[in-house]
Amino acid sequence: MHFLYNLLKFIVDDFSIMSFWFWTCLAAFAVIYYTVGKRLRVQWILLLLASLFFYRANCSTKLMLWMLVPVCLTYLVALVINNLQGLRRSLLLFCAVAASVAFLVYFKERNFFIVTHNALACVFNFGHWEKVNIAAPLGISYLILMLVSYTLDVSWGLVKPQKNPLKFLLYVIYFPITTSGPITRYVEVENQLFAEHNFDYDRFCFGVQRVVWGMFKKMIVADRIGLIVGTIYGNWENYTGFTLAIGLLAYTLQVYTDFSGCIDMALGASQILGINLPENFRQPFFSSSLSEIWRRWHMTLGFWVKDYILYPMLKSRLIQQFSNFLKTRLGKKNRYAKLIPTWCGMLVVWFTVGFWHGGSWKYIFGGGLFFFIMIAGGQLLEPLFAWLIRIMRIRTETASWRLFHRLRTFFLFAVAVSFQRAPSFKTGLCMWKRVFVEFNPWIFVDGTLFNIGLDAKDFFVLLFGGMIMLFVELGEHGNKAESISMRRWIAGQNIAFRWIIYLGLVFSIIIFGMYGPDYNAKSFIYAGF
Amino acid sequence: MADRSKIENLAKCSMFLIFFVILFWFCNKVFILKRNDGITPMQNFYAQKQNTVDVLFCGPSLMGELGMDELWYDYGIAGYNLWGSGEPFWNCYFGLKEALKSQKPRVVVLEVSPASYQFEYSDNTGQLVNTQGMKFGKNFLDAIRVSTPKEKYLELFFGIQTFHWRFKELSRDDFLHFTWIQDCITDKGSFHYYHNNAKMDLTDISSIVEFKNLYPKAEEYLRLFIEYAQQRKIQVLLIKTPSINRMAEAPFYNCVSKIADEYGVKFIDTNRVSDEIGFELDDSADGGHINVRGMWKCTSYIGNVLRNEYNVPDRRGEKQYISYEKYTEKCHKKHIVEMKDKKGYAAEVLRSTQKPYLDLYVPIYFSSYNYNAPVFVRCGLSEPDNDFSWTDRRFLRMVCNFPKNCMGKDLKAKYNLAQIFNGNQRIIVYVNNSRVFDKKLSNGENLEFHFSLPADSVTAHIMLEFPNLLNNDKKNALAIKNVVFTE
Repeated sequence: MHFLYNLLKFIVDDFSIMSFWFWTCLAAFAVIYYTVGKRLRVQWILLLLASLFFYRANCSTKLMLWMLVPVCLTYLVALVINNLQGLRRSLLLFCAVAASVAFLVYFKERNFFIVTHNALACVFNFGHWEKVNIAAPLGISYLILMLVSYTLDVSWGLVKPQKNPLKFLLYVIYFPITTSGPITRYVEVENQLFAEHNFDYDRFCFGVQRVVWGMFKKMIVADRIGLIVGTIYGNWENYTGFTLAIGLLAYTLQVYTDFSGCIDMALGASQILGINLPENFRQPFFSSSLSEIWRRWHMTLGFWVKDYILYPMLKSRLIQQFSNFLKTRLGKKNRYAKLIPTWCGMLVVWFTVGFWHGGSWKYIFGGGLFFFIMIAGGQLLEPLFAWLIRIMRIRTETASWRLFHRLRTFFLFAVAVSFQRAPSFKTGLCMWKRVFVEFNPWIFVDGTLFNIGLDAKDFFVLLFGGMIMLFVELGEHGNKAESISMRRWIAGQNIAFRWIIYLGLVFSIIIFGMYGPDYNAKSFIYAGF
Repeated sequence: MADRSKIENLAKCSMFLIFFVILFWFCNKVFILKRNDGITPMQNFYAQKQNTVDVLFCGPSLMGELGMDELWYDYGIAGYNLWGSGEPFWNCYFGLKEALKSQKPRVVVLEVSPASYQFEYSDNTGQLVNTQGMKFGKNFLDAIRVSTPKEKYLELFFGIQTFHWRFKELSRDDFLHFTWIQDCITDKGSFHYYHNNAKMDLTDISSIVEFKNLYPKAEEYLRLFIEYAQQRKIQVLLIKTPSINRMAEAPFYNCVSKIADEYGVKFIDTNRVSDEIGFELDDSADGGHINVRGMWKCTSYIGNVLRNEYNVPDRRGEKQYISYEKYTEKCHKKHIVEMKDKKGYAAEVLRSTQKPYLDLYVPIYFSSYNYNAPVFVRCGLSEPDNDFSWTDRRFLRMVCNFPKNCMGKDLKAKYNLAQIFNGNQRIIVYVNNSRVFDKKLSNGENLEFHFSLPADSVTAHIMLEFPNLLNNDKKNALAIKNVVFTE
């Protein structure tokens, strides 16, 4: 018993999704899950216990109890809401959603209000508030969005409320998704989480492969880019021109490889246990427009804001009345009569997306409003662009045009995201200003690239890792309907070739991965949001 | 049908795991740091023919300097030096247990410097190098358990966690450290110092009789070491090689002497028999370790004791011991090369001529451990290709000694800062605590500053500060080349 206690204590010290113990325990858990769990028909209970253990290992008991507050509230509201009618129902729904959001704001975004208050205080000359940094329950941002989606889905009659509180708790804290999502709706996992799963060799192998692929992205690519980004952002006053631009643009690649790597690991871990979670990325950098990139990047968040903010807003009485008013004034066929109400909804959506990423203007701008400006601006200027294309006789069906669109989209997206890493919105602007104070193309040939965080060998490893990722993404991009086409393609090859690929991937992580006592590869960027 | 598929899948998984383990073992072997202060002596020990080692030497680097080549050459004694970096008694103990799996030595010689250690665990380097040479097994696991706090078990268990960074510096030599490789068989563990940077402490300590208790863990494993050897019917000889600070350490060795008496084991404290051995001031490499001259004297003394008091046989001419012949020949060739080596040669010249030099100690960052590398640089005679790097230190301190005729003069220092990561760096230079330089410099730019040497001193304390160096960036590196001081 004492040994077991000591072992558990030891494991709890480091049980993040990047830890050795997490994956060792998952392997042991999978064995128990498919043997004892299946035989006794208690797989979901085992999942709940594992999730509670994971949550407790990564979060204090106090915060864990805090997490239970909105969970219990949502559970109870969902049970009673359909028994109510009219104003009482609307009021309860509003209160439940507002309470969950208030909970999120209290733990994650309260400094935004303090900073805003202090800014106003400077103008109107009243007292300042001190910034407060408090620890938040693990994955609170994701958890609250899931609770809100559940509450609204139940109230809209899309799902039946879960009567078993333990099952509901499992949905909320299912361990693969607590770190960084994906934001999973109840309807997507309801039938899988509580069902019995037989061991499926192919599914298990695919799950393991996905985990390894996620680690490859995170440990070989993302963390190496992180060194460049850290160097440039840490000393941005010392850099100008292309050097600074590389650091600013590289941050987006870091976020993508880091976040999608984490999601791959989460999805893979879940697949090992027989539960398929929704995809969160679909080759976002092959997008031709900003609106498209948001249909491919953090897809579950995109769907969430669309389904629970944008569409309800557009269907709301206020927006409908406004739309009718514009149609009467501007004419039914006027494009602006349609666009302006949509922009109102989009403005709220993008503000929310930015705000969700962090209670600061750099997030609100970089994570949201910038996209609103670009998308709305693009729609506004669409006739002008169409005219330019026509008079310049540009052939829009060519590969070069598509490539141009993709590069342009990536650049605009990266500009916005770069603000999120800057210490403040103002600093972000200063950094971009410094990009244009010097034209220094020689940095590509004089060895400077090997002096911005990575030496030549690391740089080539990064390039090699990036090329493999690009190869895989290109392969999967060509086959949109099948998100695991590359894995299926490999599975169709001869065993020797397959194993060379698998072992090559595993050992490239062991050798080239950024881990070990010199490096902390445990934190994910999106775990902080 | 379903059962067949299950068996097939199980077979596939097993085969895959076997391939994985073989490759993992191979990677571990290739990537492990080939350090001769703990790792390679253990690795090469496994390559020795069974039951050919008559005397096993265990202990820290102070033991490593005893020459197995000289022992063979002068006495025909087949010894193996199984030493480690600052190896504490617990690592010696597990090393002994591991060694006795394949060898049956007549005598085990233990160097007792660790008696003065006052810690529960060695530093990171010690923990790593004193365990990683071992093969996987109970002793390896026990050694990890005892050598490191529990939060670092995994780090030592999977050594590749620390060593995988070496993909940047792998060389041909890294692929040649397998037990069947001839070079491993003809290695007997010893390491020789050829320089002489400090005088040996020859203080008379015959009057010191007081005792200081050993650190409990050190005493526990010293006793375990002796008891284990005695259980296996192996004679034990405890020795203490010359100390850095005889006066301060003597009480600990008096305590060791008492413990040795308890077990009926001989203890030789060379600090007390210096005259008998014939030590001189110049026999030390750095104050703590003896150099080749000291080694010849010390080994000869120990060899005599082993021959006369322990009856260790002369194996010269025996077919099984051909590897000792080769080893001795190799060492003798190396002595000749090293003594003519520019570094040793330069050191000799400078020592005798007392010309200006800069003795630069730079913390070299390598993977998870730091160690100080003494780098010898003098006016106009620089060490080429000495690249130093460090991790979280923003300061580089140097003590520069100049000739007497420089006292009170204005001097100019010119450093070629070959490589500073993180682009331009602000550099502040202090000489004897006065700021003489504060400016941003870019890569490859020369750092030049003037300073005056005090009228009554030949020493200048120079400190370079890099205020913008990121603490968390492990890749910061600085390379200084061609340091030149001129009037």
